[in-house]
Amino acid sequence: MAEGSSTLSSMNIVAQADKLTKRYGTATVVDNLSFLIPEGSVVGLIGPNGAGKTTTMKMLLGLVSPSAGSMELLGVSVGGSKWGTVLKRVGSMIEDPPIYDRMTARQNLRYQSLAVTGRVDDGQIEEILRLVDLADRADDRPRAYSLGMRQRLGIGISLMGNPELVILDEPANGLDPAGIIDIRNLLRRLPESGTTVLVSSHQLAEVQQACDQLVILAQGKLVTEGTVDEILGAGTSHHFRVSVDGTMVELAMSTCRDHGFGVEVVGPDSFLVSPPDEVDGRAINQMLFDAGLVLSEITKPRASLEDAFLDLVSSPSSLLPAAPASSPTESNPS
Amino acid sequence: MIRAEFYKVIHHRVPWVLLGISTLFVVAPSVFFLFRPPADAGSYREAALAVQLVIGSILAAVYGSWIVGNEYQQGTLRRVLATDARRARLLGAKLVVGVCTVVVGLAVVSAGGVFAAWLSAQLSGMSLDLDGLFRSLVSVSFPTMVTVLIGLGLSIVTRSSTYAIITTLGVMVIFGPLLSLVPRVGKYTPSALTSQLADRIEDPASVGELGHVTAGIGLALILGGLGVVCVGLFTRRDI
Repeated sequence: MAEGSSTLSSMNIVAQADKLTKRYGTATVVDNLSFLIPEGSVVGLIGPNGAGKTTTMKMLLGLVSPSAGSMELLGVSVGGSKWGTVLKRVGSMIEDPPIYDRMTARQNLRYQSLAVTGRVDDGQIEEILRLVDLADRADDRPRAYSLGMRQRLGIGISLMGNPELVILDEPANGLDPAGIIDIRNLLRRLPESGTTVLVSSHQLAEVQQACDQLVILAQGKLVTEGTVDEILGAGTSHHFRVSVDGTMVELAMSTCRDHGFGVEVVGPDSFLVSPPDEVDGRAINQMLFDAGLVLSEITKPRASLEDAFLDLVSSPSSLLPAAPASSPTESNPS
Repeated sequence: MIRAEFYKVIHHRVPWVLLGISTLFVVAPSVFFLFRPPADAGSYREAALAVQLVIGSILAAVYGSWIVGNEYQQGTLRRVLATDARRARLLGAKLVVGVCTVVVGLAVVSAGGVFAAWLSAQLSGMSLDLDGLFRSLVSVSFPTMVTVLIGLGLSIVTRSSTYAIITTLGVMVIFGPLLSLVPRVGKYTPSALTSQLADRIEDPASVGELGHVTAGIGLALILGGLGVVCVGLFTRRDI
């Protein structure tokens, strides 16, 4: 398991997967996936399209039965004898917001309240409507909503009943920048009220700000998991941004290429150079100075999750072998 | 779960729209007779019952297919199953709510049709024959209920309300009655068996091609088999 797993395994675990596999015919969508979700955290599940994120979430919710492996949700084996009622403690929104279009937003929430708790909790409904900023449109039918409003209603539905775990698949999909920030702030607040969050997203900048832990998938396999800082440190490339006088850029790039360094133009007077790990900025500066070039600036770009993600996912050796979960569980019958 | 399903049926538009359409159609002959009074009083009753039988079967296919099929198509089934993993229990809740709403709906439509027929007859100076009326209403309601159950089952098999509506109409309203004309085999189709039992309800003295016990067993086997298949598919399928 990735670095930091000893920290993970010492915390209360809300959900875990052990060698989870899902095959559709000859296609393996999820391959030997193992991860842990600690209590009180916001965990980001990220990966390229087709990485298996949604399928993994569906398996956790029992919507899809795994081909192999096992899962536990809130201490209960998925598919086990006590599995039937544990989902009432879990909120979710998978793929499109699951909304009854011909019922108003308030009626949708009342239905969910009845389904989860067996009674209508109007107080919580009003609180959720305020939280997702739909209080003034609560009596309209979602057919008249924008995509962002439908997304917010779907999130509101997932929060009905004060779930201990919320699983959200692309919750910021279709939202404007202000809405994305609202969702990020909401996700950050949920652990304060005792709700753990598992969220998948393509918006890596938001994931970087919202999440404590990350689980990165590619081709159905686990690439890595850990804190955001661990992953940023592990995945970023060793490169520098070099700025020179515009007339000297070609010469500077040519000099770097002659030394076997990778170069990439990023502007009329600047480029990225990727030297071996043992070559630092000072050495690059000296090398170019020796070639008669005077640099305007040389900087090491701040690590971003996007860069780390692309580096991790594109590397052929990035896919980790299966790692056992800290507490093995019985196999889940398919 | 039953409370939640009842809440959805009560606050969703579709059941009310279907109820409204059914009532309008059943009342329509009586309204027509206000302008063109029939030759005999029996026509009021026969017309209302005939319309209820035909329209009821068509709208029953729509409603039965809607109960679960619409959830597949809208994607809301994920929401429902992600709230309670006991799929068989959920299916049972939907079946109970579906049957209850159909019974209530048939009662409302029948009452509306009877009242309209009675009023129309009165205004035309005739009186409605009420003898055996309840038995006749049950007789025309029986195919409606069977069609709802078949629609519900086929919506689970096809995972679509649209395909279920088409298939159910084909089985019960269009091709089924045509197939029932096929010698030897035709009397065992769901529509033929339903029709025989409906006739038996209307007239206890009627015999039909098969005895009513045989027809009842046959229909029960068909519905039971469909039910077993549906429960298996619903509880095991990936959503």
